[in-house]
This record gives sequence, C-alpha cells and structure tokens, in this order.
Amino acid sequence: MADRMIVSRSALAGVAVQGALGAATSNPGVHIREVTDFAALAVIARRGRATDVAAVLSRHAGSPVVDASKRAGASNISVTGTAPGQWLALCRGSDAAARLDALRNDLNGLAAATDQGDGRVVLEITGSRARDALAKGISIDLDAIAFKVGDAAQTSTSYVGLQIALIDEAPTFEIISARSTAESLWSWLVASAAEYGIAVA
Amino acid sequence: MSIAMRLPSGGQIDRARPIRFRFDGRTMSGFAGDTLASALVANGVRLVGRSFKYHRPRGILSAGSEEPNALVELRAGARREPNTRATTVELFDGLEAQSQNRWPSLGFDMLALNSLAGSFLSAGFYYKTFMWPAAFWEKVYEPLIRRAAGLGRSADAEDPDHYEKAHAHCDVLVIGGGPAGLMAALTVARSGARVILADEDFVPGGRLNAEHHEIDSAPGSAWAAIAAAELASMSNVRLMRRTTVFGVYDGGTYGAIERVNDHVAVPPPFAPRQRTWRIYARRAILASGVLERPLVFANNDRPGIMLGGAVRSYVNRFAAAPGQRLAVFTCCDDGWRTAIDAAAAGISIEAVIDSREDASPALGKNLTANGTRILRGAQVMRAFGSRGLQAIEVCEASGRITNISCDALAMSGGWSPITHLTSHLGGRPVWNEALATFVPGTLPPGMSVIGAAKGVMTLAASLASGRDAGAHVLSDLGRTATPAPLPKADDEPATVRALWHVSGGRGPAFVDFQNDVTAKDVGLANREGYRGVELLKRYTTLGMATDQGKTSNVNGLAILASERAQPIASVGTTLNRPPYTPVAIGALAGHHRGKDFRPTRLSPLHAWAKEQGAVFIESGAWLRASWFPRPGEKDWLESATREVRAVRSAVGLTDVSTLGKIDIQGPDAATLLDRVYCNTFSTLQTGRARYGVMLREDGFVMDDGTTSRLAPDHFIMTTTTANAVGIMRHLEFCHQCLWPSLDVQIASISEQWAQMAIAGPKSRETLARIVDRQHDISDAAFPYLTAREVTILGGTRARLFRISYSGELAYELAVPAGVGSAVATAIMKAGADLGIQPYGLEAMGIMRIEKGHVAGNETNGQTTARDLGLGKMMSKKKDYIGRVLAERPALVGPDRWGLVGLKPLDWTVRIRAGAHLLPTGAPATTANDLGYVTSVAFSPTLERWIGLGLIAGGASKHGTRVRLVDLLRGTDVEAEVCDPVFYDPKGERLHG
Repeated sequence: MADRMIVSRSALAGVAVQGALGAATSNPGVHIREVTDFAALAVIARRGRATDVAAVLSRHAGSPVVDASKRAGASNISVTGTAPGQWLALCRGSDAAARLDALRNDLNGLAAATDQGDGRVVLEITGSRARDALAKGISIDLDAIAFKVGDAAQTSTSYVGLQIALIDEAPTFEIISARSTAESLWSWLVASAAEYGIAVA
Repeated sequence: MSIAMRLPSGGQIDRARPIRFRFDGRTMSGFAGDTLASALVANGVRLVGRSFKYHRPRGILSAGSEEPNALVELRAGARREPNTRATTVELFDGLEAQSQNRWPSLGFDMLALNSLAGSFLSAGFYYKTFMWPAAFWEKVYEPLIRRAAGLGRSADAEDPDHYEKAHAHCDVLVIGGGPAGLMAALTVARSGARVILADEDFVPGGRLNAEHHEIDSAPGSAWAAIAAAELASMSNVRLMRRTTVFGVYDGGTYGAIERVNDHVAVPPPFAPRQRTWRIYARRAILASGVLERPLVFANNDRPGIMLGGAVRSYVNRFAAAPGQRLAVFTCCDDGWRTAIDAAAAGISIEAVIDSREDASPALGKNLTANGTRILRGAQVMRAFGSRGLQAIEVCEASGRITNISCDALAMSGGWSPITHLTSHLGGRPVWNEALATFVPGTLPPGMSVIGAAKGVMTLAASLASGRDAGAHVLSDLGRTATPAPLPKADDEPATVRALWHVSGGRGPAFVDFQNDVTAKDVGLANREGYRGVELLKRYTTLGMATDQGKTSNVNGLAILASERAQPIASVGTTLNRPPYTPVAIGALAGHHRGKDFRPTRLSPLHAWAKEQGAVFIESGAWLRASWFPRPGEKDWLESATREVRAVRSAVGLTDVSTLGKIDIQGPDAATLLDRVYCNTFSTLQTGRARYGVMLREDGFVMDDGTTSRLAPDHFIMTTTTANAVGIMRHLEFCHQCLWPSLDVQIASISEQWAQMAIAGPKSRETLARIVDRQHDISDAAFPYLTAREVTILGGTRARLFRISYSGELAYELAVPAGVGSAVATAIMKAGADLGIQPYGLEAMGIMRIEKGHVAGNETNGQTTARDLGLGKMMSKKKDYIGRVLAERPALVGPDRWGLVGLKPLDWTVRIRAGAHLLPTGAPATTANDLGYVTSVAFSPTLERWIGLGLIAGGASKHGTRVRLVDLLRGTDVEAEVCDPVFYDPKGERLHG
C-alpha cells in the first residue's frame, strides 16, 4: 500500500484565494500573499550554547544571526530570534525540508530543533496602506522610524499571537502565526485592509 | 433659499451646498458646515427635547459636546442612535433625527405632569418613595421609572456598519486643536518629532471659529486653517479631526474615538463608521480648552436660554440667530462680547444685565448707541415662557423689578478649564479664586496643560503657552525647537466675579440640566447629610450620566459650599473617569463581534471532519467534531451510540489533535519530568509511552496525559485540550524560575502535529495498510505503550503511539498538520472494508466513562490523585511538585470524596450529571450530602445509563445504594455504587 505521496494543505488553503477583496480600486493599498512552500524549525540552544548556535545559524542563513529579536537571512532562508537563545529558521522552496534537515544535523548537541512549519501560517503583506491596515490590530510601533528592515517582534492581533518582521522597505511585512487560528487572523486582516482595497496574490 | 433665522451673510457655512434634513418628520434645510443644532437654530426650532426627569421642554444650551439638553435619536431603522448631541452632529443630506423622551409628541408630553409633582420627585426620591412594599420594586416601580426616565431608544436591529480599533504611536500627542493646541503642535512638528493632533471638531481652530479674534492681522479662523494645513502637509504629523481623546491610561496611553463616517448617511463600502484609537505617546499636551458655566436662576432651562459662547458660535460660525431679541445675563467681561457680536450681526440686543455693579463701562461702549439697556449690578430672577422664552424678570441694582421682553437670553457664568483628562489617573483639580473655577492639579505622568485648559484665558497668552509648552516638551525629549515668531494677537478683557445662584426667583433653578438637578436639590442633599461632594453627586445625580457634569459641576459644588458656609476650595470637587464623551460599545468592540468575537481554532483535521459531515461543537476556542450523523439517525445519542459500537466491534477514527503536545529535549529532560509528574519518567525506556499525572503545588491534580520517550534526551508530552496552554506555561515557569540550571529545552508542538486515534479490534489491520512496510506494528514488535517514529503512505514522517483511551486495541498517529486531513482520508479508505467509522467527542466521552477514565469533570481542581484512584502513581522514591502538600490531613482522610461508578437500579432510567448523592431514606438536605455525579453516559455496551461520581468514602462504598437527587431537574433515582471501570476491567482488550 506504500508509495502514495499525499499532498500537504496550507493553513489558508481555499481561504487565501488569489483575487481582489474589499474596496474596488485599480491600485489596491494592501497586497497579501500566503507563503505555502516552506518548512520551519524552532531552535532552542542547549544551556550555555547560544553563541555556538548563532554561529551555525549564521552560516546557514548567510548573514549574521544574533541572539535578539531580529530577522536575518536571504530570500530562501531566514532566521528570526523569538526568545533568548531561541530562533525560528524558515526555509522556502521545494528543497526547504532537506535544507532544514542539514541545519538540524549541524545543530546536533548544540540545540533542540523541532519541526514547526506545518503548524504555521506565513503571510507577506505589502502596499502603501499595509502599515495602516496592520495598525488596526498590532499594537507595536510599525512606523519606518521605529521598525526597520530586519526588525522582528513577537506580538498579537485580535487575540491571535504572531511573529512579525519587516523584510524590505516597500514595506513588506512577514507575519508568522499559528495554523489553527489562521482563518481568524485572515478574517481580521481582510476586515482591516478592506477599505484600502486588497490584492491577494 | 430663505431660512427663518439664518443671517444673510458670514459664517463658515457653504451657502452653495444646501442640505435637506428632517427633524421630527419636518423637512428643513441647512448648509454644509452646519451642525444639526446650528441648522435647527437657523430654522427657528427652539424646542428640541424633554428633560430626563420632569419632562420639561428644553432647547439647545450649548454648541459643543457639553450639550445636556439637545439629545436626539439620530438616523432611523438599524442605524438609529439615541442620545446623540445635536450640537456635535455634522449635517448631512438626508439626515433624520427625532426628539426623544416625550409621548405622544414633543409639543405635548403627557409625562410633563412629572413637572407638577416636582417637589415629590426631589433628590433621592427613588430611595425614599419606592421602598415599600418590596415586592413592588420589580413588577411596578422599576418598569414605571424606566418608562418615564428613558433616554431614547436604541436600534432594535443589528447595526449594519462596522467599527474598528487601531493603534498609533507618537512623540507628542496634542489634545485639542484650538489656538494653544495648534501653536504647540506646530512648534513640536516643525522640529521633526512625531505629532498627533486630535481635535473633536470637524474644523480645527476651537474657539477661533466662533470668535472675532485676529491673529497676524487676519481672522483667527483663517490662521487656524493655515496652521492646520501646514500640519496636514507634514509627514511626521497625523492630524485627526472628528476625534475625541476620551481617556488617559497608564504608561502614556490614551483612548480616542474617531468619528470616521458619522458625517455621512451611510459609510462608503468597507469604510468603518467609527474607529477607536489607542494612542501611545511619550508626551501629551492638553489643550482641551474651557466650558462655559450657565447661571442658576428660576426657569433657566427655558428654550431660548443659551450659553453666551454658544450664541457667539451660532452667530459667528454658523450665521444662525438664536433669537431676534436677545438679552445677555453675565457676571464676567466675556458676556459683553456676545452682545457686541450679536449686535454686529443685526440682532436686536434688548439688555445687558451684568451682576457686577462695577463692570467696566468700556465693555458696553458700542452698545448704548443702539439703545440697548445696560443694567449693572442687576440679576435675572426668572424666565417666562414655557416652550420658548418670552420675557425675563430682572432685579435691578436698586432692587426694582423689571420685566424685559426677549426671545433669547445669553448667560455667561464664566469659563471653567476642561480638567477631565487630568483627573483620569487620580489628579485632583485645585480651586483658583481669581478665575473662580477649578484648574488642573497633579497631572498624569508625561502630560502638560496649556491655554485655557490651564486657566490662561486670553488669546495672546494662550498662543504663547502653546509655543512654550511645545519647546519645553521638545527639550524634554532631547530635541530643539525650531525658532519661529509668535503670531500676533491681543489679550481680550476677561475678568469674572462668580455668581453661583440667583435665589428668590419663583420656579426651579437648574444646576444640572441633563439630570434635572436644581439648586434646591443641592440644598436638600446638604440638609439630609449628604455633604461630601461624592455623596452629593450620588444622592442628587448631579454631574452623572453622559455629560459628566460638564456644565453643572462647578456651579453645583459652589452652591454646596455656600450651603455649608465653607470655601469652595475646602469642599473640593469630584474626579472624572473615562470616557470624556460617550463611546459606543460597538466602537470598543471593533472587529470582535459575531463570529469574530474571539479567534476560533480549527484542527488540522477540520477539513476531513467537515467532509465526513461532522456536527461541530465549541470547546474552548476549538471547534471539535462532536458526532457524525448518518441518514436516518434522529439525534446525537443515536449517532454516538452507533459510533461506539463501531469502535468496540471493528474500528473507528477520531481527531485528538486538540490535545496539548510539548516537545521536551535535553540532558535533563527526564529530571524535569520526574519533578513535574507525581510518577516517574526517568525509568521509561526509549520507544515507550507512560500515563502521567501532574499535581499542583497544593497537592491537587492539575492535569494528566501520556508522555513518550523517543530518545534518551527526547520526550513528547501530551496534555488535556483544556490545559494545553497552561501546562506549557507551567513547564516554562518550572524551568525558568524553579530550576534554571536544568539543561532542558521545551517547545510547544501542538500546532505542528495532527493527531488521530485509530481504535478498535481492527485498528492494527487498518493501520498496517498505511504504515510503510519496514515498520513492524505486530503485537510482538509494537506492544501496548510503544511509541515510535515511523513513516506512512510512502515516506510521510509520522509518530505512532500504541495507547488507548477507548479501552480497545488502539493507536494514536501523529502526522504533520498539513497532511492531517489527507492522512485521515487515506485511513478511512484503507479501513473501509473493515467497517471503519469516524467518531466524535460524544462517542469518545461515552467510551471513557465506560472505562472509568477521568476527564475534566473529575480533574476539576478539587480532587487529589487518591480521590481519583490514582494514589498508587504517587512515587515515594522522589520529590515532585505537590508531594508535600498532598499529604495534608484534609487531603488523605477516609471521608474524602473518591471516584466511583454509579448504576441506576432501574436500568431503563436516565441519570444526570450534577445530581447529588444521598443516603437512601434520608431527606435531601445539604447535611446529608455524600457527593455528586460528575459524568454520565448511555453505555451502548451495557445498554443502560451509567455514571461516574465522587462520594464520601470512595471505593469503600462499592456495593452500597444511594439516591441520585437532582432538585433542579426534579429527578430522584436509586443507584448502586460500583467500581468506576464498567468495561473490560482487566484491560484485556488493550493488549489484543
């Protein structure tokens, strides 16, 4: 009965459907994309090994990873500090799981690594009104002065916990949240961005 | 278009944009830039409502959010909104408003009879009058009072608009867009600091829009418009019009309500009606301005009697005349400006009555030429005219009584700083004798006060105070103000000599218009012993309700002080709390209504369960599949019974993804587990699972579940659904606070893994069809309590646990959440010919009761491990949380309520959870109570109702008989106490 590969279903499959939502406009103020081809690993350093873990993570991310609430990395791998001595490594693309397995191997003895990708929803939110829409639920200061590219935070909106980072100056925000509440998060996001017009990629 | 009382020129209205609206069914017109109140004034409407208690006819008193009288029902149908202040409603095309608190009509109100009974309805009348008979309160008095005192009707359909909440951050929040606020905002913003300027009005400028002031040789309103435009053009400034800062909270946070689309009939698609802001500001500058005090004399509430500043607002800003023949009653210089402005607009000024004999002659020099009577040292004793002012009775300085005919009276009792926001964190305003009012006292941290709100009552000084405060705040924030010249303006005369109460006139003299509190009520309260300001407030209702005493507080306190023959400063003042003006509950709820009231958690198997036709039930935040109805089944019990039979006879699949799952790794992982569980885990072999019980520090059971060892330094813990978050928090606490030296890493993996139970004698056969061949799951290779990582369906990673909640041969299979539904579907397909059925929460509950497993009903925080028959699990060889306190005498006594099974003697009878256990033959009293029924189920296996319960003496009562008495449902059933394990007591089926 083996050899039947089964297809994974993203947290917002059938919900985050490509198209326009909210106010009708030729220039939507908010663009939303659900990232679906990714894997993620929670990394918690063993006692006293945070520096060593950061070094391994830096090597894999291709840029310096610090033990702080920052997001480092390139387009297909990012590492975000989530708590002291803890990070979330997120890999995109079809080889994501294999690359994270390689990372897991390199962390052996230095850190506990747990798969988390299936338990997460990842959204990219951009557009001229992205900040206005996010401010309707997220209480931290997302102004360009206060929240810069590479900054990350653990916060919440609408009673849903999330991790947010600014990944470029467009501005594009990356939101990572729990799978089980993804539809509630989506409901809030769409309600908050609707007046600006939404393009779902 | 000719409108009765519209002035031919002037005002900040757009005469090119007429607007039609309806008030009490009558169609009228106004202009863009009008408020509902100014449009009513312009249309000559004087009677706009009935008062709260006496149903006295009332007109418009003010021109702002302090309005106590002109409360209307705005809009119609589902958008109907009661108690809206007509003075703050921007006129829009098609606006519909109704007067309220009158029956059958505004002109003729039956309940105005209350007015005749005024002496009977005085302060505290509720407390005195409706005491006896007590039984009358609910049935007679309360409904009567409610009918009489209603303040408008709320809509009876769901509000079709939406509301939202938003957050904003700034260096400096400026509250109020009058001259001082604009000046402060400009000073701060020009330095580059982040500024939010919140202004209640739809046109910034505050009193500049209502007065004939000049700034830099131009009209003050023009200066305000230029200042606002400059602010709006700056990227570091958020200019928030139509926004009221209603509350000050800890840590520099402020609540504000933005009326985004209150000024249109229907919000544009997807746009909110209102938005509640939480503003985080490093500093705040309060420029809230002042409120004018009415004068307290007999019948001072007659329609046509208005605050002097309001008269100027209507005349100067809205080009609307509150009357044709105006009299002015004042105790301060400011009142004279009303007369001068109204005269300039062509309104006949009948008289200026200044209570000060020594009022400066310079004040009225332009008026005498027009024949206006100037009466110094005089007082208005009372007003005539019921539904509209007709004349006033004046006591001249000589003592002569004169009647003066007029249709409008402007009263100017002096101005009081709006101190509300300064007292939200407990700051108490202090009395200022020169200004005859309270000024802000101790301020909330980070707040400074400027302009009139601080008691700076003149324009030039206000502008200077705005600039200086801006510069001061900037240096506080480590910035430098950009030097800029102060705009040129004059300081107008502003002296005042307080006049708190004109006594001797016939008729009620109102202090609080909204609550119908008169000067006499204040005196009565004092005589009856309610002498403290807080007691006065509660006893008379002075300063309560939606207007929070904006126009009444200072007068009321002053009258109380006079009654007590004490200085006002020693009588003191009440404090205010948020909100400054009413905030709709919908605006506070924002997005969180209906289904979005709170987040809903969906299991990774939700899509599968939906396909299987599940009926879902809310279980905490989760939606869980409760049962799976099949055609022809009439209720949940029939479906659940079928599902149980399928599991007991063949195989079933259920979703257990909601259980908490915690990954515990590290060299000290086993040590941590030994300390948090009452039983031992360090001895657990790799590849094995064990049931564990956790105690709280106080010795009671906290949670239970299985924990498996995947590697020497790697465990997977499961918790109950309800405690998933709490146990994770508990473990973090234990690690971070109790034993930080342990090298252990804890991660929640609840979201990552979909988990399903495959249970029943044919579960192994079913699973063997999807588990990849290299993994042997035969009984010998994979015995009861084995836990191992496997792959399924050709390489999908999975974790397989041979554990059983149902009591059958059973497994729990964990797979990555993304493939959860697909795997469940594949298993259903694989087991189709074996008779596999999905089963839900109900069937699971029935089977665990048949097996005597405890769940939340039994681990309810009041039971110990021994109570639940789990005492043997409590290790004697190690320490663990709860060990010491579990040995307290009260927790180990023989009379503890212990877990038992319950079987009704009559097998056809249904029993109910919650019924009390009583000795047979004894009366059903608390004294005879032996315990209660915690869980019940209809057992398809035993074909009878069974229950679990807690009974004094526990297992020692097996074989005895008790009554199950449920006085709520009226049942009384005799039952036998038995072992809680009804099904397969030896556990042979688990090992099948």
